[in-house]
Amino acid sequence: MNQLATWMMRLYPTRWRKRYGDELDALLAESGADARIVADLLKGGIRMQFSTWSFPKLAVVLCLAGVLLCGGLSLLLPNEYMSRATMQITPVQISDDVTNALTLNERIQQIQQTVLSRTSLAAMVQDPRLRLYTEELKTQPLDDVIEDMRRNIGVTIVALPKRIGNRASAFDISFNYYDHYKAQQTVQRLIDRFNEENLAASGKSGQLEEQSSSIVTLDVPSLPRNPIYPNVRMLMFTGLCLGLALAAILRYTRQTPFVMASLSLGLAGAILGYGCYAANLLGTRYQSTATIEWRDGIPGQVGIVANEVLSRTALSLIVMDPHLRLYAEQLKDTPLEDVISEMRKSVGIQVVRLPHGAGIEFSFQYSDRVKAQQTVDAIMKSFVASKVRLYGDHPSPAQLLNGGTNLEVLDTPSLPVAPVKPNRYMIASAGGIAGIGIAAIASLIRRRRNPLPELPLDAVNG
Amino acid sequence: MSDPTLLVLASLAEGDKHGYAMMLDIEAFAGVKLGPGTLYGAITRLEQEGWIRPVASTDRRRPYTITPEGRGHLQNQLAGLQQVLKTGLSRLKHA
Repeated sequence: MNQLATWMMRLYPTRWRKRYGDELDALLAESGADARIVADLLKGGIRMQFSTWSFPKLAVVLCLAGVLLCGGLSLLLPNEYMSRATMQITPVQISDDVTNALTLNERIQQIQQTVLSRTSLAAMVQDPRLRLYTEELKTQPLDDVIEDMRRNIGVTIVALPKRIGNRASAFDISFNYYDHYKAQQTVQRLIDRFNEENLAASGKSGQLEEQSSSIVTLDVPSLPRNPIYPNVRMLMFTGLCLGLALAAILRYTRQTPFVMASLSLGLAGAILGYGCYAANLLGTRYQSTATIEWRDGIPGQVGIVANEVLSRTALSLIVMDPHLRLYAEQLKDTPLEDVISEMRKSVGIQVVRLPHGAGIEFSFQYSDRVKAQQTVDAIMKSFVASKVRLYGDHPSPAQLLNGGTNLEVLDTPSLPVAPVKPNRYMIASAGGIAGIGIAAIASLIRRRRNPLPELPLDAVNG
Repeated sequence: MSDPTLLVLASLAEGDKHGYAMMLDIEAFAGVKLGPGTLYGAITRLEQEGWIRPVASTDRRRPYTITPEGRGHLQNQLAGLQQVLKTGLSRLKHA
């Protein structure tokens, strides 16, 4: 134990040992060493090192510790592989009108719903050739495992016709799993299921063979080599950044009075927050607006039509519009109903009283400014169509585009330039407050722990 | 009262002592067994503050003495503690 205590003394900085080493050695010779003393020396050595290291040294050590910690963490996390295949759905005979184009897209959605249904996935999970989720099935109910599997399956439309309906659509099927062979086999099984369901759907609708859509495989299921999760590089980089930030905060708050530390860390937080905003890391949202005038319209009528526009059916048509491709990421793992609810929160229909009727202001917030503008246009058209259906106006196509016979477009959908969310000032303020908070916590810890000051150089050999 | 710096100052208020003597004294009067790492951390800090200073010695066991500033600091700290002690005891008595 005495030898261990001597080793622990080596943890202290060299300058410190030159000054106090002999005394401490003499003390240990008198008192002897036990586990408590060794632990105390270890703690004291680390604290002394932290208090005397220069910033570069502190930063290097903490960054290294962060990288090793996160690297170790990534080794503990199970690898997850993604296999992907690309499919093409080729309708032989489709027209250019919007209805049929949606049918094409809806066909994929319908097949997807069947393939990802409980019955279908349960058959895959219990397939003795695939042997999926064997460990999970020991401890979890089948329904939970199926839900988990559903989250790991992705169906994404990857190529859409430039002009709706005149070309075929392609879509990806992917599956994430801990075993790359099984991931590949499962994607192949999903492709088979898509084909089976497509044929079944064609048969039900009574389509002739030459009129039915066919699904062909463009890219066969890949055998993934590298895991997609955990992302070791990203984790290690995160550890590096955290170590550097910790070193900076530790050193800065140690050497700087609280007020200065608060001000500067607050400023740094504000700049960081603004930087995140500027780098578009915070889910920027743009808002497009448009206004139409409904001559002789009354707010009550506008409300009824607005409810029609915000109905599930009307919004689902806009969400599923292959030209707009809204909420593509969410649709991978979120039910359509939830996506529509989210969209409903982003749509605004405001009624304004005008001298000869009502003004209706449409707005829509979205992460893509062009799509925001296009969606407002689609909402406006949906409003006009609903108004015509409910109140019997029958305008010509040209009139319809211009808002109908007694509808006039006052402002066309704007192409937003600046995002409405996040609020840059709010984020910068939050960053500032967070910085002050960090400074306060660090100062509090410093006061509580009463960390050791710089070594008294003039006292050496005192 | 477990602040090592205060315990070291209180120990040195009686007279000059080296590290091991301080450890024994503190254990005797406060019942706190300071580890060598904690003790020398406190000594380093007190010396930096100018509240103690080493006394010349030929022995490896260097003794330390409390400075007038250290004595003043100790007095202030103990006065504060005394006030807390007095108030606490009084409230306990009337509770």
